[in-house]
Amino acid sequence: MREITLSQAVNEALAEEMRRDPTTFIIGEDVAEAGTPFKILSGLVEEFGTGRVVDTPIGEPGFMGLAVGAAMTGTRPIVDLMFGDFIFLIMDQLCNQAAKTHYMSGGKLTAPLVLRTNLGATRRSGAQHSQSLHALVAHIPGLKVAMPSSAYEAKGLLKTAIRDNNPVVIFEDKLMYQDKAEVPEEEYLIPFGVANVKRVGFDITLVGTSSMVQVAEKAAEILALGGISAEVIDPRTIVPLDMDTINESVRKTSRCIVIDEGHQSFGVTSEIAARIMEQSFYHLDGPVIRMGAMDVPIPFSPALEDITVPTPEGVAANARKLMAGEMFHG
Amino acid sequence: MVDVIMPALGMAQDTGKLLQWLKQPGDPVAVGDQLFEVETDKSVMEVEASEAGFLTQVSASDGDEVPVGQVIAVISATADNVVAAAAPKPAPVPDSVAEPQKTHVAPVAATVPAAAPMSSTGASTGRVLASPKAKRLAKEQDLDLGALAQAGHPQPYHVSDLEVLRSLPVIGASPSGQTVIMVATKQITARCPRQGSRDFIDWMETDGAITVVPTAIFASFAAGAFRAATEAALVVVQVSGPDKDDVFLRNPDYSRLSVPAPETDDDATFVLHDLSDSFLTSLRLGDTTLPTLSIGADGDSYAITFEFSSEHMVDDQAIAFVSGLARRLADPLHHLV
Repeated sequence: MREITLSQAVNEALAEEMRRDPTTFIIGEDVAEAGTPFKILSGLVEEFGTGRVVDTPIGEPGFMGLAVGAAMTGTRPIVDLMFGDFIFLIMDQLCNQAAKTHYMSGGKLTAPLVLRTNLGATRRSGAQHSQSLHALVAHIPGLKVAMPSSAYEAKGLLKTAIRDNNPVVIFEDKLMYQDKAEVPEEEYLIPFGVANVKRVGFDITLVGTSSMVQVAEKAAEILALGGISAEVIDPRTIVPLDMDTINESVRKTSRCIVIDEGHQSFGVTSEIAARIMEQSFYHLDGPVIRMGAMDVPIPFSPALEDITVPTPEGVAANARKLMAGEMFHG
Repeated sequence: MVDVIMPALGMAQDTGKLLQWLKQPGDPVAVGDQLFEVETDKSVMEVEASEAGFLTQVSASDGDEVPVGQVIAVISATADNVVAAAAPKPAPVPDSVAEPQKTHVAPVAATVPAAAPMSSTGASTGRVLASPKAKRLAKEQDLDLGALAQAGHPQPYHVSDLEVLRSLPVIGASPSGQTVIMVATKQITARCPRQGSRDFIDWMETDGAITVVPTAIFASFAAGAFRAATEAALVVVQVSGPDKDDVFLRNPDYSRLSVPAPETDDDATFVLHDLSDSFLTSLRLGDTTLPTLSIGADGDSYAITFEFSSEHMVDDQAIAFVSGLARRLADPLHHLV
């Protein structure tokens, strides 16, 4: 099968859905002529024109508010938020307006918009351009959250998101835009709330999101050298979250580490770990371990930045500790 | 290991209010470290540790009214078992009607020696730390994780430890059907002069022209003493020798000392180790599968050690058995009457 980059996969998904549905349009900063700083949208303005690939001034609350209104009145906006860190600027439009439109209107209105943005550290972008803030969004009822872990997921999940009748936020890892994966030529959709078992194992379950799926897979390879068989699960969407697949795996292996690049405290790892403990407690042979980013502003210093995020070696070390039945102290 | 108790700080004081712990469970504690603050009618005092160790088994929380003298924690040698046993909260205490404190009384020692490190036969006193899965499987399979704790295996326990638990010696079953593992045996030791038995053997060999081995005498005397103590109809003595296979003797006290007792396939009633030809004086093997008797020579005395558990016989029978055996060894005439 052909291999394309995550960036190309996103571009393809957008082009296919914009051809399919004339009510779709892209709006954001530097989306048309520049094709975004990551060159993801290159060529789209040539095909669809500036009427459907709309460059805005630097004013996130403004274009996000425009998009919510446009979504409520019959179009399907695809908002491009240049950095996930800027989500703080659009919290009211996203969380107070878009997330609650369907509920507050008694079901008469919907806001079928997609917010595409990114996450991920270790790009030397500093504390204000390196955060992974998806947990903030996942906390708000009414918002779906997709976290593609490869080009294949990026395309399939984005197409599903565009067709969803309610707001969806997609977080792409900005370090993975040039990563290639097998992506079929023919059309496909990936349903929300269906986790993907990336690797089958029997001793320990590693649940990873976004690029942490790769970290989990590398950790599984390290562990395999030591005779530990790790299962790797990619939930693909954290809202909705496929607990059935996670529970099934944890009940088989009895042990679990949850890995996510958001800050560890009050984050996605905590939520998944808590659900496992509620739902599979009597099948656990050890505590569910959370591994997120350190609870610090992401440092600019490369040496410091690299140690703030989970690594395959760190995951493997914790997995060995869990297998050995050692205690985890704060 | 010492208990930490609520001290009596006032003249007429029934309870103390534990204001706050100054150490957390598992914290290392040095002599003189402040452990907790206690509030009485008129004063707030800090109570110091009298021993070094780790603060464990904390059973009272900040704000609790605790009766004076109640154990609220233990200072132990290791940080293991920091979790308190599920101790009942102290009963609610009516508002104190104590006299206002008139004289200042220095805090008494906050600690008293613990009665015993751990009960030897009952369930372990602390809470057993185990994974939820290990606990569930243990429950489903009628296994007692407390036995692992008693056997000294480090906590917490996981599913793999259930294998160890299954391999521990299992004796009998409790009325609830749960298997019970006896780890501590009971022991009785005795000493008696050897001269009487020596003279007896000399007399048989010279006057009766019979060759007698001490082991046969020991087996015969022990069986006789055992029968007298327990009124057993059948006594099978498993004679364990250092260099040869064990021999199972059926009712050796019924045979003449000159004739070897008949061997049998029946299960042994108890094991006899004859140490009199060795430098060993006593054996304490802690094995509870069978009552075990050892007789060793120690100078001019026989040293008798008997190990048994309550599954085998009651204490009175065992005491009667050992004292009867010692009496026979000291003066073989007792065996004949």
